[in-house]
Amino acid sequence: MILAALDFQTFSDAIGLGAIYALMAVGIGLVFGVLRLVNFAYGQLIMAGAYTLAYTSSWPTWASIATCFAVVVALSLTMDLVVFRPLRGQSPAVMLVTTFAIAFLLQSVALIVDIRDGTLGQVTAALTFLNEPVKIFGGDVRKITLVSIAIAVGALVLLALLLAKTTIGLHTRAAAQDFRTARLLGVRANRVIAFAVVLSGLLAATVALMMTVTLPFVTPDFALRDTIVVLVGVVVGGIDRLWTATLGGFTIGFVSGVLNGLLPTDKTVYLPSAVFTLVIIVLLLRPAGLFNWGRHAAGERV
Amino acid sequence: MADPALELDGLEVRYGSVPAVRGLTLRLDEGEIVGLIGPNGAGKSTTLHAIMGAVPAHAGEIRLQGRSIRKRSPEAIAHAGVALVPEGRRIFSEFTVEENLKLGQAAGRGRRSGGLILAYDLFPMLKEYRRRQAGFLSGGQQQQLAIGRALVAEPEVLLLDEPSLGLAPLAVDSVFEALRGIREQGVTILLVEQRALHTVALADRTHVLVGGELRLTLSPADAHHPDKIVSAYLSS
Repeated sequence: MILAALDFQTFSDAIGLGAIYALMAVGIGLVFGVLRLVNFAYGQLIMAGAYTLAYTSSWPTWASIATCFAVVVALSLTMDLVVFRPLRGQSPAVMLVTTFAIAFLLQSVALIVDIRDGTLGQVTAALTFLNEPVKIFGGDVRKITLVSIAIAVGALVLLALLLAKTTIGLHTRAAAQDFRTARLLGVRANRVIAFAVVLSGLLAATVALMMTVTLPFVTPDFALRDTIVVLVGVVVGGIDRLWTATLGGFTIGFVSGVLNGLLPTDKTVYLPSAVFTLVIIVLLLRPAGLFNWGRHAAGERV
Repeated sequence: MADPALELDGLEVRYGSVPAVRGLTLRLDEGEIVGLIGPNGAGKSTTLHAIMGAVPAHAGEIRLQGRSIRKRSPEAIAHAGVALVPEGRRIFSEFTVEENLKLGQAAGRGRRSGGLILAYDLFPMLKEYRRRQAGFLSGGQQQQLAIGRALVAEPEVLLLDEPSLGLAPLAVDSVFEALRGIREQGVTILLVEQRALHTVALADRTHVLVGGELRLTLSPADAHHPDKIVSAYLSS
């Protein structure tokens, strides 16, 4: 009944937002799996990608997008090499606080480099046509929504195949389940962590690209709010496993989108309160995660 | 004289200021089974973990075929040719039997598939159930999987940490039978066990570890003198 009250565009936008959040959740979940590290600075990787797209917006589209991917993956690997690796084995609290520090450091760097010379705000101009609507089942749906859904589904299928069918995928799954035993069997810790970090970076760059199409005005806090919401979604879904984390990300994006459509225009200011009230209720009822059946929550790492 | 397959020389391990292994010296020649028995807390598992690089050695030396492996990472030691069958089996219960065995190849030594053939030879059940989720195997079958996974790496030295723990008597017998089969392939074995009599009867030598120190060395003939083993335990 509630869904019936929604128009088709709100519904499709909610799925589109859920798809983007699902990709972010996978990016966060992959790194959590192998490092037991909740990377609060994930949003800043997306922000860096968005700035790269902005600064290269005069380049050919393919070059701009390729540079975005290169910068974000390089930044992701640097983060691991310079910060996460020396801190490996520290308590989760230390690691989390460190990612806060990185997040705010990168945000400050963005403030410095954001020189407002007029080049910003024109991100991937070649892709702005994606904001145009198409008619589906009599309703208007923006092309970017369809593209987001297609890219998210494609990326998730590709990732699932990579994890299920390749040796490095098997090693990464083993490391996520029991890192100590995996290492004793000869799984190279640095290799699987680098693999997860690179994948996570590729996903962040993909998200940066999709988000900048709808939000071409890039600011230092770009994707910050989304990251917080996704982190909450990941915990609500169940951070212990990649697929529950992904579902959590999708769900919180979808619910945010639906609530946004249901609330009267002058009441959308209450959206975060509504979303987080739901989050508290879910966590009270299912502390191990909404989709985590028959298992205890994460935390133990032998 | 050839270098021993594995050699511990004055190994010291501490947890904080508490010594767990004190000046342990051991030698395993190629193709030997050496047993390590002793009461709980004697330092047996700690010794295996120190060999694997999972806990740091405070002093002493660990050599694999004459070359030091001390201070190397667990994965580097696995690649060098040491495989551990850990206590509690630690199989990946959500993976299939085949995926668990493939993880044994992570050490990069099992590409010739000889290890996999040996594992399937010793434990035909693994081949039959290779597509089954490992968590659904019985305790004895999971132990066979853990040993099979270690063999897939084609190790020079196989370390086993209480492989009979929690198994029914028949399953215990089959584990010890399998160890005989593995020895015949020339694999050197260091066996940590609580089942003292079984171990003494099987191993070429069995050392009794008490309080982190070697107390006594037993030969297979001592399996007929349980009183000797009991007195070694009681003296702790």
